[in-house]
Amino acid sequence: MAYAYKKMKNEDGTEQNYILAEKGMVIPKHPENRHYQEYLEWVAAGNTPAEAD
Amino acid sequence: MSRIRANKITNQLADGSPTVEKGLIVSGVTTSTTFSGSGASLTSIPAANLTGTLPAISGANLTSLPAQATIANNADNRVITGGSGVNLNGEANLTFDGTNLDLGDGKYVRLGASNDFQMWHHSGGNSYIKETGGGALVINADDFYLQNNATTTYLRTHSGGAIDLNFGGNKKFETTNTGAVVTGICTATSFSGSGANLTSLRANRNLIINGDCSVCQYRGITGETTGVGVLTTDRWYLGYSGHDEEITQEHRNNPVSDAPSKLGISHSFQVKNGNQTSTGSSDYCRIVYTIESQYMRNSGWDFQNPNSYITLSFWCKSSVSKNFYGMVFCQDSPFKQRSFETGTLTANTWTKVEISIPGTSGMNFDHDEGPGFIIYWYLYSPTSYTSGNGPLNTWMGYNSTKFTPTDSDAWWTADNATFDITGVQLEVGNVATPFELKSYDQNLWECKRYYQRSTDQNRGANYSLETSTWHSADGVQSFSKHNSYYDFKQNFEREMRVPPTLTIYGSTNQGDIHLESIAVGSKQVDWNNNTTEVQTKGFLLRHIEDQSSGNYTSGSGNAFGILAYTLDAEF
Repeated sequence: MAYAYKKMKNEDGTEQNYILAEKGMVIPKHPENRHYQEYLEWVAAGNTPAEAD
Repeated sequence: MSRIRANKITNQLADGSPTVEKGLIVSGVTTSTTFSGSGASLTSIPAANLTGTLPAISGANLTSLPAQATIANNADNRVITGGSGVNLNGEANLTFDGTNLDLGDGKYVRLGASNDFQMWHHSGGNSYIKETGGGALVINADDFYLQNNATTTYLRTHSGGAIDLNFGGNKKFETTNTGAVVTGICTATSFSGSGANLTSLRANRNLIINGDCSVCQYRGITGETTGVGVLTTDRWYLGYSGHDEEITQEHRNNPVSDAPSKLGISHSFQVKNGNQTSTGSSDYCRIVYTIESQYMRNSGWDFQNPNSYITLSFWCKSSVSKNFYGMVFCQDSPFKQRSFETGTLTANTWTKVEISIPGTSGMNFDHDEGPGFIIYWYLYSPTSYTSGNGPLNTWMGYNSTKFTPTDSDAWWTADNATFDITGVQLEVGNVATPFELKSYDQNLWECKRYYQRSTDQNRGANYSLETSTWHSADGVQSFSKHNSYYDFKQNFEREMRVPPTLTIYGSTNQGDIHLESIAVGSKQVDWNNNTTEVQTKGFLLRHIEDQSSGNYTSGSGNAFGILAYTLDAEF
């Protein structure tokens, strides 16, 4: 399942340890999280997530 | 009277015997080396002088035989034909020194004055031993065996008092001086008495969570949907590829007349095929169940010992008669795979399948929450997975061309074909015990390690949050005012397998939270620029601000808002 991914940032502007996907999904960057695994496959396929607002 | 005196008489030529034409009367003893000719007129020969072998002659004309005949060798061993001529009476001990004493079908051995004890072989094929007089049939032996024709023992008694009951020659039940010992599974409709001394009771022996498919957090009590993943029944994953038409998965409520329902298993996970107009080499459809490594590691299965077993059992039903293949896969290094089969299922008929799986050298399960043991049921296994015609029921290293034996596409090519599975149990041991029934609440609790949600099952698809369908305690959360922002913290109902994917529903923008608040009114809240943290025990949303104004300064205090979410820590 391919989502449109977007990075998240903290209040101080640094990047969060989470990825935001469409449909309001917050994906922890944990190796055993299946959505993060899908995200890594998506990136490995040459895709790039959108930058945080 | 004339008399001839001679010492020798010969014929005229003295080279042979003389011929006496009219007979010869001898007074005195006649001695000869042999006699020949008819002896028809010989009389009064003394019996004592008759020796040699009697000729084989007919006794048909024997007359004047006595009514009672005695066949005697000596006075102690005689068999006498009785007066009626139909009985054979023994007068003393009878010793039979022959080979066989044969009695035909329906001929009885009868003992006792009233023939109380009887043994016979019925012409119908059975043999019988019977006590008919109302007394007991007593068999006295220090060591007694009851065996089949191949001398396999069913029952054995010991002189010390123990009795063994066997199955297939193997002892299953043994009486002892303190009670009895059962080797294997003891099943009864009930047990009574104190269980105070019971030890090593194994509750939760089933390693499969939601094995009865009762929990369906994803879509409520029942639900049907298409797509790959865990989308209906908790913990049950549908995978397929190469389809021409979508395949459906459904959480089913089955009628009470179904065989599993009669055992308390009244739900199933059903896969329904679409119309697949072609079969490609990579086309497949499979049901997947994954068990954490640490659960396998600590299951009690001595998984590196080929004499230690784990047993998989399940109920399944297909609209297409077919032998379905499956595979168990050890995900931790080194990978191990082993295929199995259901046997040919009768169409539309529930069948229970039992598969015992031995341990194997080198198998490993890690101490972690990752995927350890994966069970696949192939409704259709693609040719790319089966080109090597993998061996059945044999452990082997990872080989993607030998996942299963070559499979039939009978199910894949049948439009609207169905496959149901339920009552799935994986347990340590080489015997499938009855399915371990659990309450819905216990199943639900176990499932929440992998999936949780904030809303109840009355919500529509995707937990639609139209305000007209609100439930006061369903999806409505309390937000804390923090300066000009709001914070929200939520503890999970139970710790989850890994930090889950948090999905917020009801927003119009990506990741937004819809605050329908008493304090601040209806607002779309900007997800960005807040601090988010999701761990295994809870999540925190901090610095939630108004999407348009950048703050919530208009709010005067804590707020209530709709925050419907799901937490997904599935494999």
